[in-house]
Amino acid sequence: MNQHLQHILDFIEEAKHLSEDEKAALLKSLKSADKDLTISNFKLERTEKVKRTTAILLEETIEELEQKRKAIEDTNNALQQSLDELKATQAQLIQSEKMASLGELTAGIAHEIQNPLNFVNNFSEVSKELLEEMLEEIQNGDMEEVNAIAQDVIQNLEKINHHGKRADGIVKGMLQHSRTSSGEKEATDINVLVDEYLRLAYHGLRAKDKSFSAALETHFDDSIKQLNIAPQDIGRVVLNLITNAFYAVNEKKKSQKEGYEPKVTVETKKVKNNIQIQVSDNGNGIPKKVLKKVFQPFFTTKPTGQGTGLGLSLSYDIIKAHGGDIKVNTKENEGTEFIITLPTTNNA
Amino acid sequence: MKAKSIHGKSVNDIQKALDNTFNNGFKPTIAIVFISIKQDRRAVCNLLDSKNIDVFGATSCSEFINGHQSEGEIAILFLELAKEHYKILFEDIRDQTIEASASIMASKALKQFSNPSLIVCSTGINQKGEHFEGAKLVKSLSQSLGSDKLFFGGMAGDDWQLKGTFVFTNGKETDYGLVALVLNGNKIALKGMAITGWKPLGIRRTVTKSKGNLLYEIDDKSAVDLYFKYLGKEDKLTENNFKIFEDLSMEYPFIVERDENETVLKTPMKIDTKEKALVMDIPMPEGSKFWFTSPPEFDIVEEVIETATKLKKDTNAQADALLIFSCAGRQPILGPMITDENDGLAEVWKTPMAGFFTYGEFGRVLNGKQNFHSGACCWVTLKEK
Repeated sequence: MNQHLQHILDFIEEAKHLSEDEKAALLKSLKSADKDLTISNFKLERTEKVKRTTAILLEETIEELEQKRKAIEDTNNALQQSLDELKATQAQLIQSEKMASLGELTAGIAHEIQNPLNFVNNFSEVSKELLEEMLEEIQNGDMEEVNAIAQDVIQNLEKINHHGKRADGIVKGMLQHSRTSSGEKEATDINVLVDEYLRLAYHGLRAKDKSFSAALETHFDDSIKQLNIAPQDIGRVVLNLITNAFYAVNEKKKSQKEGYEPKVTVETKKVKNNIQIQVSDNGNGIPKKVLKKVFQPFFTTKPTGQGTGLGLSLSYDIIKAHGGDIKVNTKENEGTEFIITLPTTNNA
Repeated sequence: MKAKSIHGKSVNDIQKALDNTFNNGFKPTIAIVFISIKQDRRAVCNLLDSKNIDVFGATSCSEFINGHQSEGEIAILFLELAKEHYKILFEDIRDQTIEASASIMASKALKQFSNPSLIVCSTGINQKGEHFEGAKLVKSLSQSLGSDKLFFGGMAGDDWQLKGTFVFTNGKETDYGLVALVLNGNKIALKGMAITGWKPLGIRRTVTKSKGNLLYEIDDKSAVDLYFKYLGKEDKLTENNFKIFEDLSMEYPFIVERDENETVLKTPMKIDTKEKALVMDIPMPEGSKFWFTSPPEFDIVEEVIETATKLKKDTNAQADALLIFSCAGRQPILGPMITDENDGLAEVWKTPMAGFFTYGEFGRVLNGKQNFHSGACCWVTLKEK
């Protein structure tokens, strides 16, 4: 008992002027006060102790959280740096993909330029001979013949000009392909575009690999009018699909016995408000476990150095940017078809 | 059902109180005995046996009845209940597992009554100093009995000596086993709940390295260092005489997550200096999520009593007797208010009460499932229908 209360208790117990009942009542109150005091003291002591411990615990926790925050901040910075580096690398890879597709085109372009150049050479040689002949006729004074020869020369020069422009167009197209696309859309004849890239791809591959051959089948829907697209972007997609198709049939041919006839079919058609471009091959098809990944960036089944793994990924992005869709159907050992769907409306 | 609680400092005291009880025409058939390890429990059992009273007993870490709490003494709750409505079962685990013993006990209980309710006491720590795994007991007993069956109880104590606890009945006792008072649930209703009061403090933490009862790492940091640092006792780390349990962890256990939004307190008992690990009373497997704690606020006593009052009012329940299994760790936390908690509960139910301070509790939190608890006040009323 508290010593002061004990003193009071002793006093009450010894007090002679108090009745027993009075003493009992006072002692009861005194004991009750002592209990309350004990509890108050206990509460005070415990509160102090708990407060102290809690404060330390919270202080340590706050410090720990601060350290964690700093660590997260450092990790974030490192991640951001990695992300920047990744983006830069991706940009480089995208550019290298473009250059790779340009490589695919180079041989085809050379083949395409060869034709107009042959015309230019032939017609210029013929024109030279005609002009020599014309000089003779001038000396002979046969103006009628001179006039006829001059008409032929004019026609030849027109042809030279025409084929010169065609070569110019091919070179410009090649340059355009290698440049960054502005994404600007212009009215484009899809059938012409697809046909052009099909030929470029075929001749390109033939130039690199003389043994390559495949049956090409085209079905162009003449009802398709011009479509508002970014031609170099869509051209890149078509080129990529056709190149892949050639690769697939060529691979199958290498591993197949005689009797296999490589075939690549390119088809355009109008379906309601959409234009579809379908590129199919009778190659080995895409295995199921690979199928999900074909549109993932950097995924390739080609040997190292032969594919960036960006072709289909970029194609997917380009088609989506045109509000369209790209799908793949495949059967193992039977072949694959890629179907590009582009809307004819709302693609301005 | 008639009930009466008595207490005594010796066998003689109990003899006198018992005579007194019999003189009033009360004929108890069961004695629920909570007794200090320092007392002669065999003599008490013999005395009760001589009166043809069945004994359900556990050693205590302080014991109490209505208005009287003691340390080193004896508290008994007598029940006058027809023999056909109860059975006392005893299992010495020894060469078996806790799960197997619990399963055997459940089978016997179900054989006795189609709807058994149990008061169960297990040992708390054996003479080798090994802690009893209460969670295993509760899980197995609950599964074997059926999840709808009720049981309440606690783990025996030994006045904080941590050298061996015992459960016993007439003629049998063990330092590694169980004793159960199996009641016919169709005749005697049990109503009770467990409530702790410890609250999570700070951030949720994860056990990253542990093995058995050894806790090595918390959030990849030394568990020993972290525990001492966070509770402001870093300077005690090198002190050989520092008693971690008595001076620290009794008040600051961990609150550990467990299934269905429930938690359980787990307490560091000592430091394994060789392994540099905390020795826990209950294993904390790797991946366990837990918090440091703040001890119950002073209003926990009122909360315990108010919750009991509300339950009584809501269910319009009455009681013939009350048993309280209160965690030994509540004593230092609640100090002189601990008697208010126990007496307050007895006052709510206005019934004879006995209880003891335990090394673990079995029961249900309000609307919860059967679980093992630590740091809880677990009370149960008995009412003959």
